[in-house]
Amino acid sequence: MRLNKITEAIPFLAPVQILILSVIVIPSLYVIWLSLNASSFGQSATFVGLDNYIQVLSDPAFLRALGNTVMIVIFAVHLELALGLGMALLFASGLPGRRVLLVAVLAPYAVSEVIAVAMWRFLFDPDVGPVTAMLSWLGLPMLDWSFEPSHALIMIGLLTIWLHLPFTFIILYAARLAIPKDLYEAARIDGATPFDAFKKVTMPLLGPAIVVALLFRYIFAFRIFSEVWLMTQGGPARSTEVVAVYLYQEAFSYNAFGTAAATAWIMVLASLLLATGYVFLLRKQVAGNAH
Amino acid sequence: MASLSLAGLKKSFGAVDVIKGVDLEVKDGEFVVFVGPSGCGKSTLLRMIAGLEEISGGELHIGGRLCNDLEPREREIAMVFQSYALYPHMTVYDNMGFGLSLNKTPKTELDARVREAARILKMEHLLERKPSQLSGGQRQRVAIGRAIVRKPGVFLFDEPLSNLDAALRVDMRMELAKLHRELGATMIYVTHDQIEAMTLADKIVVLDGGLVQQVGSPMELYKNPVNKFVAGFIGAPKMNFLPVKVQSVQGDMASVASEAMGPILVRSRGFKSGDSALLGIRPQYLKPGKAAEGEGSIGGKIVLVERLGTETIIAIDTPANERVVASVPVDMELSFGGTAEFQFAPASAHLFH
Repeated sequence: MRLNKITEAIPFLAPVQILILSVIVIPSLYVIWLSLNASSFGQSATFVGLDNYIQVLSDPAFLRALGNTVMIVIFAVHLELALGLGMALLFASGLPGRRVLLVAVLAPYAVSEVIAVAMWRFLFDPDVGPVTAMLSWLGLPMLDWSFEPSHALIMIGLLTIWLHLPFTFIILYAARLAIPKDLYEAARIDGATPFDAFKKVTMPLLGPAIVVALLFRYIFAFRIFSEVWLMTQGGPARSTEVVAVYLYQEAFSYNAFGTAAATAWIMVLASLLLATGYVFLLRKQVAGNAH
Repeated sequence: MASLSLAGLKKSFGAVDVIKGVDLEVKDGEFVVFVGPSGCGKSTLLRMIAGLEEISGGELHIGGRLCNDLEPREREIAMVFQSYALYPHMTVYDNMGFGLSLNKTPKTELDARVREAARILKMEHLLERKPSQLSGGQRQRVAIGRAIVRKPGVFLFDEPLSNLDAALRVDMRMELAKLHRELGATMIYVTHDQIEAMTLADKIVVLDGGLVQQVGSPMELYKNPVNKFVAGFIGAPKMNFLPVKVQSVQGDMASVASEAMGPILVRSRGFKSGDSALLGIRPQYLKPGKAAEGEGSIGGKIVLVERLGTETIIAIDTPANERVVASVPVDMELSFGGTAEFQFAPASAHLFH
């Protein structure tokens, strides 16, 4: 009877199963298989075991790409969090003209990455860019991103912050608005200064939202591709490559599908590790504040 | 403990005047209740005392100190909110000790004070719990505990019982009265519930439209309301108001009459012969039966009979089509559509403009 019911249910579930199998499970398994083989155009795949992984992990270009990625993740995500938090608190404190400003703050999220990069390339153009002109007018050094790798990375970091700040901001702003006003009044009466209230009321209650925002942003930032590809293409001399650009180069510039597949799985594992860590943290926090 | 003095206190939100000049003296250790309908400004007045709303005009003294521009923490007050406003991420213990930990009270003293407050409120067993693990009544206790721990000069309560169910409200009301006796502290309590006001207060302040209508002890307000608003607001069921004509005035007594009621002599304030007035009679002062010489009498068709067990509420329509409600302590033989007649002592009636 029970079996009967399951067999009857299968046709109804099949479309979803087929969809997941065809777009996630099968490609993933194929990439695993590919990562264990040496493969390129015009030659049949030969099994090489974990050689691809060893090759990728010992490739100085990969290690530099990984280093760049980690730098961007650490620099961009945390600065973005600090900015997003500051702005969320500013908005929640009853900023005048909030509606208009909200639109302005959220606008970058509606801008396509390609357009954003084109805009930034123009704004920061070393010769004619208005921002470059303003920086030199203020007597500040210009951002020589087309030539100096560290400047290029800073530029990429700033661009990714600009693009994704609305995401972090909106999560934190919503969480801040969910904290009842009464708590702040109670804290004032208890003798809390605004800083005490921030430290003892706002921060603990924003904790879960901060963890969620960080988790998503770590994973997104770890996969960073278009900002880098469109801005520098990983150059000069592969010095600004990130892991996703390295993968792209392996697969489509050097046609080394095996190492590209291995890189992809290294990225997946790194993201999973991050996610597991944060989900664990989040659970602990939620259990701590059990409602 | 502290006394409180409000002199010409005003509050405006933009062009809207919410509190239009309140004068009030609260003695040390007194339990004062602000009561009034929604929007009368009672909560705003309390929040001005707490320092959560700025004072637009007038002077506020707490314990002899001018407090207009002091931060809430400098006013030596504690407040219990309607929503309890407990910090959800802290245990009961930390919630209660929060104020003391902020002003760097030594740990041993903090611990002693939190445990003492928990003992007074009989909630020692709840100290390690989070607010989410407590019932409404327990949360309210924690909120009160948080106030007690700080040993404030004045306790402020903003409708603290409104979120509790009826049975729990009665219990908490008794506990608050007991707490006031035990602590002997000055307490200011805001409510829209006149039963809470009557049972808890040493002194009731009736507010309407941002102005104090009357200040007095519960029974003073009940027996001698100064105007129609106070008369109608205090007491349940509401006082009956019947339009009458003043026929003659002798000293502080006036003879009044209406179409449905023969002339009676009642106390009057500032009326002259020929004036229109409202005769206020509490439903409890209407007795069934025919009026004797000099007594007032009202009769009419019964439109409603509510038997509450301890009393019966009867509503009648008089021949002049006025609705009159009487509360009689006995289960009278009455039926809808019949007629009933009530009498009252003129001394229990009030005359209002």
